[in-house]
Amino acid sequence: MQLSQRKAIGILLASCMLFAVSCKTENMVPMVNESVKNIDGTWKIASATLNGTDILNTIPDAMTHLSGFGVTFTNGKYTLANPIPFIVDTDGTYTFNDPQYPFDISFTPTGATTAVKSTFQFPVVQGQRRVTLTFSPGCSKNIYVYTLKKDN
Amino acid sequence: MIKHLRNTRKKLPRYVFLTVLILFLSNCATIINSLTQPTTATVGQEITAVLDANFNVDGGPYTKQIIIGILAPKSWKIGENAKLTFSGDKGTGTLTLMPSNLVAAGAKNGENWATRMKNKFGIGTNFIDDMEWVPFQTTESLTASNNEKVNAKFQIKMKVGVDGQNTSVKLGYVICNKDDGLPDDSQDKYAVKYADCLEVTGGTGDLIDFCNPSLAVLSPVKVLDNDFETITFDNTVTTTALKDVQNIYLCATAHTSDGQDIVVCSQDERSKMINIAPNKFQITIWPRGYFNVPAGKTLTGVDYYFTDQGGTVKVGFGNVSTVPFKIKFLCD
Repeated sequence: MQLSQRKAIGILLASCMLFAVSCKTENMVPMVNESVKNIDGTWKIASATLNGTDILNTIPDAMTHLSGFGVTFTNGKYTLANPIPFIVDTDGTYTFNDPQYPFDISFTPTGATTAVKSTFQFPVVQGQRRVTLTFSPGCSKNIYVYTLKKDN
Repeated sequence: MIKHLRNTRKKLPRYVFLTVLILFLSNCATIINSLTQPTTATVGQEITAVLDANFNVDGGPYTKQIIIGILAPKSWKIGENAKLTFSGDKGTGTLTLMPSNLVAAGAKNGENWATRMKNKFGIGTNFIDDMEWVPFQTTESLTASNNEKVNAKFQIKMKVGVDGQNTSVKLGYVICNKDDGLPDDSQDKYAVKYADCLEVTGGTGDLIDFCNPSLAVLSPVKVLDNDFETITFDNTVTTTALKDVQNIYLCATAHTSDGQDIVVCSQDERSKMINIAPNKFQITIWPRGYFNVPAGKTLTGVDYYFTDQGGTVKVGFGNVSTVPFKIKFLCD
């Protein structure tokens, strides 16, 4: 009788230990910080709409000059090539509202005191990053959406 | 087997009755019996439009809020300048502007009532897409009993032409209820009617004519010099001096805010309009680039004509060669 009680306690202790050992936290996903979004490089227009209507493919490029437009980002600065209606019309600096999780990008032309903001999306299309900007350079009810792809 | 058939025969009238009942239940016709609205007014004047409507209920009873939508030029701000009341079989009451965050019944993309109406009816039979649908709803729900035919007269008092501009426009009116909205598969749940052309006079500037097709159409209608602007020349509207001419050019003069004029009137590749349909021509310009506006200067407007390749034959506003079409760089 006594022996079986001892046995029982032994089994109990063993199972307790087994329980304790079995609960081990494992890091399946390595702890990595979300990367800072890097958009350095020259970007060209891949698609453009005005008030929801495609203006890249429906209007001759000789009128809109969309294909010639380019914006180059380097170390917090941007430069424009062949201006068209865009968030800004002169070169300057840019900042994200949050470099890791950007939803807004602000452009400050050189010499200007106020920044102009655009919503910022950074989708992946065919394995390549695109930058989608939404803004109104003229009347606020005229909404432009430009999607830019990196120019190689 | 025979027993089963007999059973079915006994039940048949019941099935038929149920089917008919369901059909009736889903049938609640909204009809506009008449629309009366003045066809002349002066700018800022209050006019009264009356919609005589019927809600013919089959089945029921139903308790619903009634919605009235008004199609008017955006610059009239009808949402702030209209008062709607009703009187009829269900007593009297008022209608108030519907909040823009309210999603329309059956709206597939979550659009609000104003957008739903615009998507469904566009700008009616008008020609300039610078109009909006403004929805109003009864403050209380109204109950119609079984098979009742409810009549109501909606009185719409609105200040027209508050922008102070001479305008002619065909206002539109739609009636529906808040539960059914504007379904695409059933046309008796709502009723829409357009008034005859309303001429608003006594204002300033050239007539803004929504009622008639125009030789020159702008898109977007409201722009600044930093927008793309598409100008369409519709040479089918009337017989012009450029009849049957296939090479059409834009001859334009831009005005800067400091009183200078910039002329772009050479007939070349830059000013050539593209043919988009038989005798319809189009050009898209970015005014700041097209007129090469120096940094720091802004444009207030553009005057323009359509010309032939020689630049001698011109068509301007009102189909004459001496008065230009005008773009004013203004927003709402």
